[in-house]
Amino acid sequence: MRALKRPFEGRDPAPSRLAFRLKRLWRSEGFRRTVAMRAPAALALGICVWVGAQPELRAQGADLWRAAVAKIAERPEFAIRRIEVRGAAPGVTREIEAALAPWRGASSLAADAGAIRDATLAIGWVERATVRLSAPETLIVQVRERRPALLWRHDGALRLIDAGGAVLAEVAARGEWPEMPLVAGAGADAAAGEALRIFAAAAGLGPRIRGLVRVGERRWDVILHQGPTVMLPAAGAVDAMGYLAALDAGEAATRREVATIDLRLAGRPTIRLTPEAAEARARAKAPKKPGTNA
Amino acid sequence: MSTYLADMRAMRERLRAALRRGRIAVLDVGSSKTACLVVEVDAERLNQAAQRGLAHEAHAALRVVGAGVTRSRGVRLGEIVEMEEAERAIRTALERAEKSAGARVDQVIAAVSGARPRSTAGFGEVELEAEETTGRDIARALHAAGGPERREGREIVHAMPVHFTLDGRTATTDPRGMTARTLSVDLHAVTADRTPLRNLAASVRRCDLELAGVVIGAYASGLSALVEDEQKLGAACIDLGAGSTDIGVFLRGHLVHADSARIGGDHVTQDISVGLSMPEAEAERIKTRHGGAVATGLDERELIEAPHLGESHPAERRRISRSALIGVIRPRMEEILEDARARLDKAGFRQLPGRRIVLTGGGAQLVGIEEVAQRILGRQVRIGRPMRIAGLPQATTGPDFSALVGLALHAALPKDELWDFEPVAAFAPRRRLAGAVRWFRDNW
Repeated sequence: MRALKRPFEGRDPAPSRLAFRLKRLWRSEGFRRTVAMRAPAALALGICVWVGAQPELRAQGADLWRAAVAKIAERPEFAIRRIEVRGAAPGVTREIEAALAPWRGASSLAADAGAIRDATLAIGWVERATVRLSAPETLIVQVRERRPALLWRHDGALRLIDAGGAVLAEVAARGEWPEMPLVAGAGADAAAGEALRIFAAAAGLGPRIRGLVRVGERRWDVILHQGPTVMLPAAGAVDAMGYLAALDAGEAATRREVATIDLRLAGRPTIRLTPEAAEARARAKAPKKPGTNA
Repeated sequence: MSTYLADMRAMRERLRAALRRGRIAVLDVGSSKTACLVVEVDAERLNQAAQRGLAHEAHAALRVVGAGVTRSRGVRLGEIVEMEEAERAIRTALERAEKSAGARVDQVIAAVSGARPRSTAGFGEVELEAEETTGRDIARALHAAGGPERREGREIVHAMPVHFTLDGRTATTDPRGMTARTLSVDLHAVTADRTPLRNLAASVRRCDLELAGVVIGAYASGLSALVEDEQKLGAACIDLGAGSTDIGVFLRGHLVHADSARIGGDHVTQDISVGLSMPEAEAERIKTRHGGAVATGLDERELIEAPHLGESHPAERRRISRSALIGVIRPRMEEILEDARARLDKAGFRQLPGRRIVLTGGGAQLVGIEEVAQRILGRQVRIGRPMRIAGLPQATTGPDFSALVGLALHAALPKDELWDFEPVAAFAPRRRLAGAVRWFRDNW
């Protein structure tokens, strides 16, 4: 049984063949995807390629892009308002803050963490630094300080260096760091580690050690207060120093009238007497009467 | 023989492709309405169901996403007589269905009603090549059954193995893998007139659609109007269409007989129109609105408007009693049902264990038809509505949409047919390369 409606008069409900085909074409998934996605994507790609092929257009585009990026980066929401330095002594903290002053108020988007880190590391006291941004406006600089180990006198300046030989700061006077052992001479900073071990081995000599002098960037001389100059070998300087300390403890070797103690040849320590002592020795060794010399 | 097998295989391939893609259309070009459903298929669920052989699970994998119904044009007695008009109707229905589905479908399964279907039975027996039954054995047995008759002007629509016997013992529906020495098979073939089939295929093709299968209307209606147990125990489905009355007999879940009478609801309308001298459209209208098959005392007093031919002014419209209308309808309905009974008797329906008869189709909506049918066909008559499948619009749940829904069910779980088994001469010398390719495809 069919619908109760009277048969239609007038317009044919059937779609024309063309309309039917077009509608079906539009319903087919592949075609629809082509129109909705593939064609616009291809068009966009084509425009990009065309613009890319024209240098002035490309330059213009790049300028526009940079301007847009800069505009966003300059917004006050992105400014760095606080710089927090962690892990440094107050003096060093002030120094770091001064070094990072250019970034205060700068945009955190434009800020280069590497540059900030380099600026921090440029300060001698800083051994290691990590820089991170803590939203919304704080820059946190986590640093590790170097530990001062030696004073280094060279070229008329007195510098504070650490065990690795890195220079921490210049020192105006020796008195500022009275407890700090002293080294001198070119290349002394590079051998700072060895110098520290020598000082440790020379603990027995106590405060009589004035300092170490690097000779020819190769070996050390030990300068003793009111005592001889001890020449240490290039290799095995620490052992030689231990030997000297033992010698000093047993024989009071450094408290005699000796100008230099030469330990450069292992197993053959050589000493040079002071001129007075040499004279005295010669006198003592001379025959009691002239002419009876053997 | 081989070309039609190839055609059938091609259609099956299209059906499988459509199922893999998950969307297929079904189309019923009837004498009164052309209806189209767009069905979405959950391929994964369908596979599971097919492996376990559960029909209702396969049907649960279906979902109707679009429906389109329009008045048929150019169709008489279930057959297309005007290609152009029929094509327009198909376009309209498909366009509406696609529009409501919001998607395009390319494969369509169509029902053919009318077209003088005829059932033939065949029997074939072969010795098995190996111990276990294979698809090749079945194919050989089916071919030994002689295949269906191939007369001039006829074409095979279905060729279904309905019963397998292994060494004289009844086997399951699928004997593959069973051990035996001989295999025999009963083949049920349905042929139909070639011209209506070709016309249907042509009009579908002219709508840019691919035909993925043709199903006899009686089979499609039975699939959806009969419940599973009725199909197993034996039942007949009578589809009272507008142009044809299709009869399908089911037993053990198979269609065992199909027939069609070239008489239907349109003849009732014609009788009203001629007998009461009314315009045909008005006749159709009062048939649907006031018609019935059994008159009661009340109907004598109930007057209905029945304008004469040529009367147009509402004031001068004739009024007739409802019993007069029933008096015109009833003899024709009785004639239709008696014709159906004669056809069923000829097919030996009385010998079946279950003798249920299910009336469906548009004519089954006539008030009192059940009573008349029970008197003519026996006690076990009921009105069958199509099985409910997911998403089916309310407007298409009446008995007149049984064939359409049955097509969708068929699409989900097509029965094995002759052409679904391996061809006997798969390794003909000329096709050796193709055979090798097929072997790799099948085994890897």
